[in-house]
Amino acid sequence: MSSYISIIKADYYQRARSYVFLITLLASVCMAYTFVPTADANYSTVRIGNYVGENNAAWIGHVTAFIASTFLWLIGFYLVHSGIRRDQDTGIGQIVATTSLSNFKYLLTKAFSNFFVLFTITLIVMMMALVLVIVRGHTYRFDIVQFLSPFLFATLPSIFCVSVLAILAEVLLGKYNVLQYVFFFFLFPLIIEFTTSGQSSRQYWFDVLGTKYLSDSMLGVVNATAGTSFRSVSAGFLFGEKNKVQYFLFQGTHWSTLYIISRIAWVILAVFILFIFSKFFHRFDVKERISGKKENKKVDLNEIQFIPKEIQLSTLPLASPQFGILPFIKIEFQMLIRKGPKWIWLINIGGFIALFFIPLAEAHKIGLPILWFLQINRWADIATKEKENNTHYFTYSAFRPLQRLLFSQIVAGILLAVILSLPLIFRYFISGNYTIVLSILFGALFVVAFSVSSGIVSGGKRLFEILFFMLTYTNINFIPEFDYFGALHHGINYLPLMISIICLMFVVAVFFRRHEMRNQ
Amino acid sequence: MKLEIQNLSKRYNKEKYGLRNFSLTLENGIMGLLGPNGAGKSTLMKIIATISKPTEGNVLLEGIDISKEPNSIRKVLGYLPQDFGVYPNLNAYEFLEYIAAMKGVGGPKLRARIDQLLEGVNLTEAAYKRIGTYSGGMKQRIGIAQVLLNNPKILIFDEPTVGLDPEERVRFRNLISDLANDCIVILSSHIVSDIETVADEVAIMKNGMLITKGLPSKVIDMVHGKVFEIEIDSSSLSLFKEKQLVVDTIRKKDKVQVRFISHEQINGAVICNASLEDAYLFLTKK
Repeated sequence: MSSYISIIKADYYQRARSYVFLITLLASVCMAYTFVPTADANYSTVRIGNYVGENNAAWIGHVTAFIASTFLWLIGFYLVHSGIRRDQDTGIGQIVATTSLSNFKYLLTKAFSNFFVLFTITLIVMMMALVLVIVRGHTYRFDIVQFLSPFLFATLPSIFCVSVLAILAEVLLGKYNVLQYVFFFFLFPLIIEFTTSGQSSRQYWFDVLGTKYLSDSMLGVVNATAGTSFRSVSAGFLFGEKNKVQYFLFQGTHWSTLYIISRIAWVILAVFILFIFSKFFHRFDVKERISGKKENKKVDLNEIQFIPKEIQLSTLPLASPQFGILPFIKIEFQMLIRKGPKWIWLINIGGFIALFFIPLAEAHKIGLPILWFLQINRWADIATKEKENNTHYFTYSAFRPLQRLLFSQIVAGILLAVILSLPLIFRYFISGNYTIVLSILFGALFVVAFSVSSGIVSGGKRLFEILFFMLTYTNINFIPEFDYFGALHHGINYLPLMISIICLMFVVAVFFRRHEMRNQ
Repeated sequence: MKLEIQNLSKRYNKEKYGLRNFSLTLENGIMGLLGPNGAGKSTLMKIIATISKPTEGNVLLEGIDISKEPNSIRKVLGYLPQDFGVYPNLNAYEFLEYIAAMKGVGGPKLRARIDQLLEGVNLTEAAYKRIGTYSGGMKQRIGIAQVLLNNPKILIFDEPTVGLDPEERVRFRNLISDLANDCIVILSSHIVSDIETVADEVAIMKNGMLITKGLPSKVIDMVHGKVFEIEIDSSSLSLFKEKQLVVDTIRKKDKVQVRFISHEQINGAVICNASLEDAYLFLTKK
């Protein structure tokens, strides 16, 4: 048992000591702070019709646990996945494969390590909620059971399940990172839909997030005290109509034994599924899984008979100085295109063609963000691949790396975004909507600035992956505040702010990269 | 060309130095850097390659401070880092074209230069395979090829022979001997014999400081008359190691032939010719 704890501990430390984790914790503190709005804020987070609860320990605990269960599913998957991949890349996996550690136990330790990463964030959120009870509480009475129990019953099983899901995705979809992103991108809305739509009193058995029982409890109190007949709870960042809000007293939830059993059942089910899928785990024997075609390439390489030669310096043709950036852009673009499995391009091409034919508004509001989201893998490490591939010693010692290399990477990234949006640009251009064309072009600029700056600042691609997923999720839910490509805006009034943000991101990226380049 | 390293220090915190008050002047030829792990060899090379900034001191190339004007050296620099990677999705041609673009070289002759470099490192046959499928030695050879893309005048090789087979090591040594005619070559290696064979001068480092530098023969002279060999019982080897600086042992049935360094000759020991490895171990372990 102690050896498993050691493995989990080491894996957890490895992740927890990363820069991106620190940023995630800071972001979690900020997010948690917004979970319980002030009285004069123009938004609410959990609302039943126009009712919100009075700020007491039970309400704040429930609201925070409710949002955390959902929010940590949303970002948790992207935050913790790639645990197995990292072991494969670092060679640790090969060592693991030679030990007596079974597949199931290895995967379970990985799942627990994922869980503890998310648990740390939950703890931070919980502590922030505690501060909010003190700062924004309407009463001095502190019901610790009703404050903590929603975290215990709803959030913890929820984050355990997403921890296991991240491992399952890696076991099943292996090296296809982008497929894992896409899989979760479409799975999450389905889960949310399933959680919120059912009206059965036993719906919580099917609710992996565990929030249905909480929302039913809140609904019950409102309907009983206010004589209303609301049937659902609105959750998320709900802007507007704040002045109509009415408060009700929420004193907590009666936790039924069946609900608690349902939560334990989810955890057991997750472990059981992990056990089943552990039979399919490659155990780092990845070469055998390479397709026949690629395997042949390997064989060819080994069979090459070299006739040893030496470099003859005197006969080497002298290449001429050429400080242009076109060759750079070409290769950077090539690398972007080649990233990930080739068949993803079939989906890209399908999406590209679809942008020509689906109704213009839908193509812009839904088609474009999804098509761009499919490129997450390509953009995520656009300016950090040097570090990931360990080529930064070459690039940072090159001639004017900042002005030439970074600039080329940005241009290549923008080119990809613009090319993918060409059908829309074409259609808007034909219809004379030039301002929307401009919005899309700035959207392309934004997404690349976002990936470059978040990558350089955090030192990896994870932060961008998490945030871009969240951003795309808000886009396809038509939240205007996050519309960066002009799908929901009327006019270009928002563009000055966009341009400022883009400039700021580029300045930050250049500043951090300059510092990084001279401090290896 | 003249490269002057003046009182160079790299301090990580109040007490920890990567490099301390290091001074050296280099002109065309091969400077071999020797030192145990953590001696500061890579730190020194990174500073010269402009990817690390010194906390104190200067590196002057023809009188120009490269910390202030890093692009002055980058145009003529060829750098092979100790632990470098490649882009696995590119083939050797594309990777070299990419590095060439970074170094600011191109033109119609670039293709021919890449051809010849790939031929010279015996990678022509594999030139269109993705580098992700290469072995460690093949990647190392790609690394060597990229160094020469821009006709460099300052060459920095940090552990270049790692992963190379003995035949390739010989070819590499021949290559840098050729290069040394009109370039400054800085070469670090743990394989002392590699340095001994090719270096015009040797600098030995320890704890971020320069212990000694000079012609290999002069450095070897420091242990002249101090290197001995003796045959002892296997069982007494541990005790012997406690008393003497043992540099090599060869097992022979019940006996062990021990090569050691001592200021005084002991009973039964025979004096033998000193090597650079003896001098290196003497200077870094004493």
